[in-house]
Amino acid sequence: MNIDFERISELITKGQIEQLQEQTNQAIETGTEPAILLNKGLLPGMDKVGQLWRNGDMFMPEVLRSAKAMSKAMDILRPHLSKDDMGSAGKMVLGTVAGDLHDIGKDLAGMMFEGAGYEVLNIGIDQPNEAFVNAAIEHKPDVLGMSALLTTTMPRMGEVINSLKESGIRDEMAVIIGGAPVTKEFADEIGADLYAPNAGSAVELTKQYFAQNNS
Amino acid sequence: MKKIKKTIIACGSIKAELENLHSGQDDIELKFMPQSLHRQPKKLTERLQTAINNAAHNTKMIVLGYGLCSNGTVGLKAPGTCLIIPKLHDCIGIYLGGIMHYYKLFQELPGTYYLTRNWIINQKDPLGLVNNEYTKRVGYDMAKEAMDTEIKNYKYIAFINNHTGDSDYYRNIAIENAQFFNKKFIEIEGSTVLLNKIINGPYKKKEFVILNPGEKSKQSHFLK
Repeated sequence: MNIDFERISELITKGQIEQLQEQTNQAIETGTEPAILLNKGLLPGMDKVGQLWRNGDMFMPEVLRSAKAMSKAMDILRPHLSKDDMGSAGKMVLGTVAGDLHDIGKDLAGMMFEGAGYEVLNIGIDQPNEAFVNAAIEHKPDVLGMSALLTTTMPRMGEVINSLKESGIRDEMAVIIGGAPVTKEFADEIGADLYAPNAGSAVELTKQYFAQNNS
Repeated sequence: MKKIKKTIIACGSIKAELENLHSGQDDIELKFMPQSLHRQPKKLTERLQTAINNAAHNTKMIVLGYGLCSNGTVGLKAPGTCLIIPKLHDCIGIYLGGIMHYYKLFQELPGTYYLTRNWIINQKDPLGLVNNEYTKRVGYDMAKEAMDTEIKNYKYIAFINNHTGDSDYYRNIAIENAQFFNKKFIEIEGSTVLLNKIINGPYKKKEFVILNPGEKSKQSHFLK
């Protein structure tokens, strides 16, 4: 059976939860590879949500409805993803910086990275600088992700990078940052490797980064 | 033509407060932009730049009644005149009287969702958003769930009372929000100190971004 991946992406952007669950189940039952379903249907759908949100063409309740749809589809998919798919892409430590209690974007990014085959260690909101460093020392991630929604808390990201440098482990991982007020200019200024304008594009940018740096 | 002393271009959200403090000085001109433009920051930048360009030839100094406001004030410049912008993240700092008070509360009361008279009037409080904006888009159940998710990590809903308009009414709406979303209600005394400084100065570097004629504003100017 041919799976209409564009339709699956559309169900994500429109947040049609039940229909998406139905289509996901159907795709699995008819033998579609879970990783292909993710990469061609679900992730592009969430990527589109991220773009629409960033451009002001989609509002918070719709974004959250789409995220819920994605999460429900992932629940169906997860048991079918092989061990090779889970964690095969690498390891990620992810958190929101100190003083910042916002986690919608961070959790979305976590879900996307998990979908793309990363083992994601989400250390939560309001994490002091040393929590990021300790997690990095303990888990030796390939990617360290930080988010902030407030301009008040954004500077903490630069401080975490400095702490990683002081601990001598900065170069052992790629640092990716995101959040509504974060800009490419800010990322360059604080010495992050990557800036993701939305949760959806974060995975793709990370893949490109490793493809370039490992070649 | 003789230039006026100062032009203040401010967000509509602080119109009532600024007009109350403006004692009819002819040499200080007040101009207001529609509020809620911070939700479309690129549009806010464009609209502000146009307003600045239109005012610049006829004034000695332009002061904005804005903070960083979702980066909406990044990249602005005033041709031929100084541009002054309060060193704030958003209008909460204006209502609290300045950035230092904002940082103090940020430390003392983490997890506070601030409500002001203006946000309540415009139904931008969490309950107002659920009932008047979100439900239209996704239905009531998802609207409620979305707002619960958005504010789940907040502990307090605070009403900043600046004693403009019917404070009892605004307080009651804030209390209703706190009860509905299971948060603790607190009331914080507002301040007109910064509003006054926007109109009359002094413009100290600690509190204001001060740009020379033609110099562009950057995000880093606002960050601590």
